[in-house]
Amino acid sequence: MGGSADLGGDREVTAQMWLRSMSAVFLKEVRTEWRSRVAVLSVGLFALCSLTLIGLSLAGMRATPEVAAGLLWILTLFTAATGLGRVFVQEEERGTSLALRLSAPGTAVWTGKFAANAVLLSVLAALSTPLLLMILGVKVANPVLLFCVSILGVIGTAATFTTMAALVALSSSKGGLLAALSFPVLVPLFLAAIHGTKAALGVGNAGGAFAAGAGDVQVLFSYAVIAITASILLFDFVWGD
Amino acid sequence: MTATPELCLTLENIGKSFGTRRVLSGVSRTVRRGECCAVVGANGSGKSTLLKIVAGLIRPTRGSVTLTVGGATITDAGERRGLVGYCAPDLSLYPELTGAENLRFFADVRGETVRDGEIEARLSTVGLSGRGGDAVASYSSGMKQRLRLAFAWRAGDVPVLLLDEPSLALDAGGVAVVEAMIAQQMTRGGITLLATNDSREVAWADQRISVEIGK
Repeated sequence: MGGSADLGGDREVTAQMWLRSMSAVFLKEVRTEWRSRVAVLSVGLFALCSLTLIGLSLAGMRATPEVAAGLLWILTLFTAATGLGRVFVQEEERGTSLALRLSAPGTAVWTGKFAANAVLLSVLAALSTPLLLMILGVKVANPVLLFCVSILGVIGTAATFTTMAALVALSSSKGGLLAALSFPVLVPLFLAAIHGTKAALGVGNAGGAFAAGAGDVQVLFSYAVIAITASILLFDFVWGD
Repeated sequence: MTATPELCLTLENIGKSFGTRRVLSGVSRTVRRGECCAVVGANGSGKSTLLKIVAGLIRPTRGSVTLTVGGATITDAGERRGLVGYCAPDLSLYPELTGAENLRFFADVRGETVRDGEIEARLSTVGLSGRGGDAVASYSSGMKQRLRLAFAWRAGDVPVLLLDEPSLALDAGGVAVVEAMIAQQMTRGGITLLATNDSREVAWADQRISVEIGK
């Protein structure tokens, strides 16, 4: 009895230390980004340029919801590739990864960085999605469905890019490797995300029913859970050596 | 400061190759509590690589590292990382953060309980008192090296202190800090491994390992 109680206490302390470690990594990411603004500027500029070019090319014409759904996720993919890849590359290039590796559990580092990436991508999606839909002149049939699809898609994308960024950071050729590695893994997510977004924009769903995209929401949720779980389980192998 | 009751670091037939290039071969040594061992050798002979292997940052191609602390035998590199203080020229701290924020961050991720004023005390140990609020990006090379020493030293309680060219870029005051750290580590019964070619630093050690290029 006493032994199990002690074991439970140990687990609690370990969990608390892990949470503290993870929060410290997340806050460090936010603080360094707030001061350097490297990712925010690169991601923000990319999104702004893309939206401006789309607006100019359409010149007031309306796009179909199908095109809007595709453009929305193209924007998310390339924005993520532009901004999220730096999280581990920068640690390796600056030599800070040695200190981090010595001090923090790998899973806490991954989770802290994933959380920071997910927040960055969510803020960007919250700003760029309404702007893009306004530029394209597309109306939203079900905002709740669009929100669910967007947030789950962003979480899955951030999880995949965070893990791939760690792999890329340790390779000698960093160039376009992140997008090349991540894209095949993200195909199932984007298929569900685009389909769900189309349903939210009223394609084959004139009444804007949530049920029309519920299957896609389930796929996106499952993808996010699998991506996060697999990353946490595998990350120590990448981070440890 | 806590004394380490039982402590022993055993390197057994350590070898490391990067592709076809052999860097280390057959390095064996036992370092006991209170001992300081200098690792000497020409540039590129594998001194830093040996320290990284002991720190658990890279895996040896052959051989093993065993750390015995208070009766527990640790062979896992991940576990060993938490028990070493490591300072090396290729280790950097976050330039956007201040010196104090860096030390606080690494204490937090290690799960250390840091009392009020302790970060300032750690900075003071390495002669950075009053500069903890400045961004590391604004530090000189010598100040960055002092901060690396503070990172490695923690609260002065690490069982194994690994110092790779610790006096690099330091002025006379900085060198005195390193000397005092090593003396204190030896007095409290900790282990120190010192990778260096500086004869003054070698003299601080009570034993040495010589590594040669390709051997």
